[in-house]
Amino acid sequence: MATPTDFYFVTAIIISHDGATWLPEVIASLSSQTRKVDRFIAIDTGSLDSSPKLLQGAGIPVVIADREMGFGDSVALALEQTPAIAISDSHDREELLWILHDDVAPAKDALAVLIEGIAQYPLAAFVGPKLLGWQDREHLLEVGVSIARNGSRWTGLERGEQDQGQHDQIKEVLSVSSAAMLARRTVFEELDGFDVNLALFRDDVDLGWRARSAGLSVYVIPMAQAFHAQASASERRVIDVSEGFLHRPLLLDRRNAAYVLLANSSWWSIPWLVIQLIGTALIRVVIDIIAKLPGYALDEVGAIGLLIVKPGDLLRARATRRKTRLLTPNVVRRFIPPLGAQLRNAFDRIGGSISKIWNKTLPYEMQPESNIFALQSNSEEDDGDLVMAPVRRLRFKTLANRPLLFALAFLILLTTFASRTRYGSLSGGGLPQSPLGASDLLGRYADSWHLVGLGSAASPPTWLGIIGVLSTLLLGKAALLVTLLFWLAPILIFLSAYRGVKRYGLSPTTSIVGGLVYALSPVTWAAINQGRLGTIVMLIVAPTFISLAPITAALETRSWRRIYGLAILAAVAGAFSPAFLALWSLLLIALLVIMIVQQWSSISAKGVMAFLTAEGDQPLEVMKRYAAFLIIPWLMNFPWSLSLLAHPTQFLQDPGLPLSLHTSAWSILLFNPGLPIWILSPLLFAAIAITINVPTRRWGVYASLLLAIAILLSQLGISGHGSEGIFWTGSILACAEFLILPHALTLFVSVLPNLRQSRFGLGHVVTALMSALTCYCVVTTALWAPTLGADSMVSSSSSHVIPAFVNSLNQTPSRPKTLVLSQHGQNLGYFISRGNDLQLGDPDIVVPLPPEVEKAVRDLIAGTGVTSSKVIGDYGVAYLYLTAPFDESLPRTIDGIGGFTRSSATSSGVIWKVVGAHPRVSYVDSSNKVHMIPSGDVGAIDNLPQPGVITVAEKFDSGWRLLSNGRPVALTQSANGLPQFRVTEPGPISLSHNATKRRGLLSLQLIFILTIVVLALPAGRRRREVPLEELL
Amino acid sequence: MRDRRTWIAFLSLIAALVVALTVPHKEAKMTLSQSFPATTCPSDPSQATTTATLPSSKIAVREIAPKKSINLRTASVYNYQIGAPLLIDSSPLTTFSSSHTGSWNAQVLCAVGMPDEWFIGGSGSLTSQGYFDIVNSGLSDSMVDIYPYTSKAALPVTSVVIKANSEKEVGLDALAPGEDSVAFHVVTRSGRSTTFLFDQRKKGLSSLGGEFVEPTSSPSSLVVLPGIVNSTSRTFSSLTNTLRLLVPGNVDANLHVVIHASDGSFAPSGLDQFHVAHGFAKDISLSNIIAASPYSVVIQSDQPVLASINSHTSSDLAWSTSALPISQLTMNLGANLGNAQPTFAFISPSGSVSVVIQWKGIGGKSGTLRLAGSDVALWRPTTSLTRVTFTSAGRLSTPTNATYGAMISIGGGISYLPLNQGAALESARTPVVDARVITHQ
Repeated sequence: MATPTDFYFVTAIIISHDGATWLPEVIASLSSQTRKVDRFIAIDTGSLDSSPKLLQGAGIPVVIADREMGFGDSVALALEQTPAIAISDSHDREELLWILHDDVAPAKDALAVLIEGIAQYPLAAFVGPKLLGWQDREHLLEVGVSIARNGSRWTGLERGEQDQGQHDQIKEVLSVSSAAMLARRTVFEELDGFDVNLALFRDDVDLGWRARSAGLSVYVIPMAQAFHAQASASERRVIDVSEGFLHRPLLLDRRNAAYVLLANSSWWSIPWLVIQLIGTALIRVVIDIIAKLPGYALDEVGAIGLLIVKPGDLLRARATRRKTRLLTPNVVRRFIPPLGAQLRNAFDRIGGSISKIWNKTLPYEMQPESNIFALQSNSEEDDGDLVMAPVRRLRFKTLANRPLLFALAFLILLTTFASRTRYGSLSGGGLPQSPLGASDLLGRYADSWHLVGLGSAASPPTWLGIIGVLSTLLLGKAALLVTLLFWLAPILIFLSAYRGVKRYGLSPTTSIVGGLVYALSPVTWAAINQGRLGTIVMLIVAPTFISLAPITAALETRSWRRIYGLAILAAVAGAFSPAFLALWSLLLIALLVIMIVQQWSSISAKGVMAFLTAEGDQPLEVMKRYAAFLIIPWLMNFPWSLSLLAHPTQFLQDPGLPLSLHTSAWSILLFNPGLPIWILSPLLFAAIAITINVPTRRWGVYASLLLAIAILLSQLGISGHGSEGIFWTGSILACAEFLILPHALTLFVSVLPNLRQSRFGLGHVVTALMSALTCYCVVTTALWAPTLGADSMVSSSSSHVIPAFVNSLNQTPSRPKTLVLSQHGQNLGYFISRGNDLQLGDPDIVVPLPPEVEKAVRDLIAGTGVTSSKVIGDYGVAYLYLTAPFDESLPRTIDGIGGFTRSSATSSGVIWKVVGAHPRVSYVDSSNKVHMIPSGDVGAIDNLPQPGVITVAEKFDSGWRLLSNGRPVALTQSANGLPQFRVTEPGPISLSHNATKRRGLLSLQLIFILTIVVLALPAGRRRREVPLEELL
Repeated sequence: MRDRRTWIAFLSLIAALVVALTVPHKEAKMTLSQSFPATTCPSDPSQATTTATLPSSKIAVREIAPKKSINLRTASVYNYQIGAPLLIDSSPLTTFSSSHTGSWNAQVLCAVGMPDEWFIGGSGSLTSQGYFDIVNSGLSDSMVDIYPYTSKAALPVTSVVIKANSEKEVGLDALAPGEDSVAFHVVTRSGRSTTFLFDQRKKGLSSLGGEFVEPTSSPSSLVVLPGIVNSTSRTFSSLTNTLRLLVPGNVDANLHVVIHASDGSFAPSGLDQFHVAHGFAKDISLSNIIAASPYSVVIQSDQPVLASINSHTSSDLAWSTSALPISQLTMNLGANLGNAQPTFAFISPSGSVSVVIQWKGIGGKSGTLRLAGSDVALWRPTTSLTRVTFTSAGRLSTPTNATYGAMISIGGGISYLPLNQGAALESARTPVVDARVITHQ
């Protein structure tokens, strides 16, 4: 009885090109087909290996073609060499073309199944098998193929999806791979075969699209299987086709993808396609650069460029397609993946990559073994850590047995209670109010002129930019980020310390103890309660940094990627703690100097250049790494780091406001910079212990030196950031703490077995006392934090120091400023507000007020300043606000001095209006009459009716620019030190602050950061570098 | 401890501790700034020539008038001819202005102006041409309340608004019409105002003299009026003295008056112990006092009291107002006092006067002398003085032990100037730049 396969004549066309690796198996699979091939023809495109011989040896006629011939041309050549079977010879059989790559091995029954499939669907132009991996034969490569609107090859499969028969239904697809396509010859020829412009890649999709537009169908027959090595796509062989510009497969693939889309789509959809193609190409360029694959990035750019260079090809292709098109191009719409599916796929891939990297860094026992995991105890060895294993539900008892989870739950509860006054926009202590959004922070970071005090052109600190960028992750809610950071601080600090301690090889339980001691240390809670943002970040970063610190291992063996990674951590720590940056830099300079001195004889003998260019020289490698550690934090914090060098006292300032809280040297010695002295930290005694113990001695010495520095600096009065205060030692103590903690725990763990076996003695007593002190510290801090400690300096508050009406006036065109006087104890402080409270980052960019203003305020308070109102009025200060409480004599003095008219007196304070205050930008005409020029936050635009003098009520800075009728006007300084411009002709004026320098410096910083981050990131692999086992 | 590094660690810690505990740490403490406020001199009375004796020719001044610049400029002269009121930049030296016509002589201390002042003097009678000269040296409007007291009643308050950088004159006859015995309480409600009271009398076209009445800051139970010219002087044979009293509180006062003169101290008959009703200005004639000239009057009271003595001749008058204890006072005397010759009178209620005088005269002459006396001490410099410094050598522990002084100018009229500081050294907290004031703490 005749089977459907008997009604077809099959001509197999094998296109080979350096395929000797795969051909033996390909030939074997073809020869073992259950339905024999009726006719073979092989086109070898100038293989340099034994491909032609192998084919000829198998009895397959081989035509040798030019090495640069494309796939479409090769198939066309094969068709020329194998004329269609004559009707007389056909015996009513239809000729089918089985187009085969030289790296695809069909299963034994593949041809038979494919013929059965095509026989079922008379309208099917061609069918294809399910493609599986060459190495992993369960790995699904394709079950039909399509193209996304951004040009991606779309298979609809998950990454690494295994074949479990889930796709084994015959279905219509846009196209099937040309690797083992079975096509009706007549249809194939009517469609003009593969487009010769698509020498390789995407020719199958294009053919499928054309078949669909001609009213035909394409089916995938998954019961037919073929195993594909994807040698060209995986860069296992060189691309030699003439269109294969520079022999780059990716370039050809991307170019062809764009070609297929633009040649087959309707005209009206082309603009949107172009946008998607270019947009996706740019995103891929960024990703490739980050993955350190500049070649791939160039491929993406080049692919678009090639199409632009040769638009004629596209126009001709569209004209050709119009001839065979019966249906609208949109007929393929159902096969084109929707945008959502593309995004989902992209996120899955990104998530997969991140998860892969993350899992690599996880402790072994925390790496997921299953997609469904919960917590379950496994053995005594694992006690205390998370073990991932599938379970049905979570029990409280299980929770109690898991120390890590218990510790986390405890800290969450603790910080939730302790933070009950800190839910909302935080301010207080050293922490100013957070601005509304990330854009405010980033804007402030990028601006060249800052609206704080009487203006400042200072370089904002890098941490401001970091907080701004992080805020964007919370939809731009900067205040929310700060609140979350303060709430999560104990947990993050604990986790960081836990992971840091584990790196020293300590057990999970010991690491949890270490994490708790660190997270519940007085330093941590003093930093939280005093609003020390920088110290909180330092507490989080320090354990990771110190546990991975370069001085802990042979530096020359560390990879450069690791060096860059650590240098970035140092840069982050330095951004939040200038004191750390200074100490770190000094340490590295000292190490470098020592090394140079040690190597001096070698340097003298070789000469400096020869020494520096020597390869494999171990000391030189170490020195290079030290230099990288030294320089990179400065580069990443540029240009702020330059301003630190220019004003070295800024090294002593933490982010935010300095506080005048004096802490005794004894408290610092006891690692307690701000909590009640009865909360004793065990770390001093731990430091003594590790210093006495020989193996851990060096760490004790380092920690002691840091502690000594902290003690010395703790008594130092500092001035800056708009205020005066006492040096805050928190960041230094954080580092000292983590230098001690892991080694103390190591010592403790190592002595325990000896103590168990020895008789009761001093060792037992000391160990017991240390344990008791540690428990005492943790317990007392945990009790203090949610009770007495909850009444912290930092709290959430919706009220503002500056009255609302003054705030609203700040938005008027005159942009008035307010001089705020406030009495704290015996001290009388003052500052100039722009209508709002001090914002995050403001203190860090405050510059001193002009001496004229300082004198005017001093004389005002003394009651002697008859011209005080005029001076501060000239600086645009329109209001004077004395906040309650105050001495009764103060308002009387101000009332009496003249120049200040009371506006209001409430329980919050007294407000005076400064008589004759100038607007922010004013213009004095020839009759000495002062006019207001409407001002924006920084610049102003107006039309002057007559010549005059324009004065800007801001601190003088050479960056102020004024254009009058488009021409720059010379900047001068008024008698009171204000920026002034003498405009000699009427007409439009434009005032601005020149931000060119700032933009240039920020661009440099961005380049430094991107370069160093890219260097620190794991490098992507070119496809040829990916093992076949992983790919296929 | 076998390792050197261990020693380094411990020693560095100990050394750091020792340094940190030894070196005094910075503490937040209040700092005070001390300065003299700028003072104001009144405008030139009509038909008079007025000169201010400035502490230095380099001192900054500005004339107070609406159209004048508010910027200070260097005076360039010691004796500044006054037209409009004059603002003088801060200086530890006391400045006074001297006005004179051919027939009368008047002097007044240039002052800061206090928020609450008493003027015991002047007249609202028919002969009165006197007025308040209220000078607003500030850059905003000022409001001043004037509470007149007469011999019959306390009159309703009169509020005066003075524009920024200007002065206003308020006639005494408008405040207390027809009243001869008047006293005034002046309260500055807002602004930087300085109030001067100029008492001028005329009868028809003939001048009866003029004098500034110095203000008193507050009533006191001890009032010292040094340097009253007496009719025993040949020059002033027609001179009469009248004591004016005001008890401003709500309780009547019992007073005890003692006259101190170079020829002894005594309580005049009828004034040894007498009663004064509160709330009224009371005049008591001192014409029958027989004492060396000048003499001083010390009034003790069981209630706070204000007092002054009006001395008048046929052509001039003077108001001897209460003086404050002298600690140290320096003043330039380079002013043209007309034909007047100054006499300095000192008194201490406890009876022992001791004052050190350092003087500089024309031609570079200078000298120091110690002036001592049992009741009063007088100094009539023989040289034309340019600058003089008085330092009390006595005790200042109580008002009774302190030394008080006055300058009497005789010649071309009579004039009285208490030796008070025109501007007291004012201490104030030095404000510090502190950004924390605009954030929640």
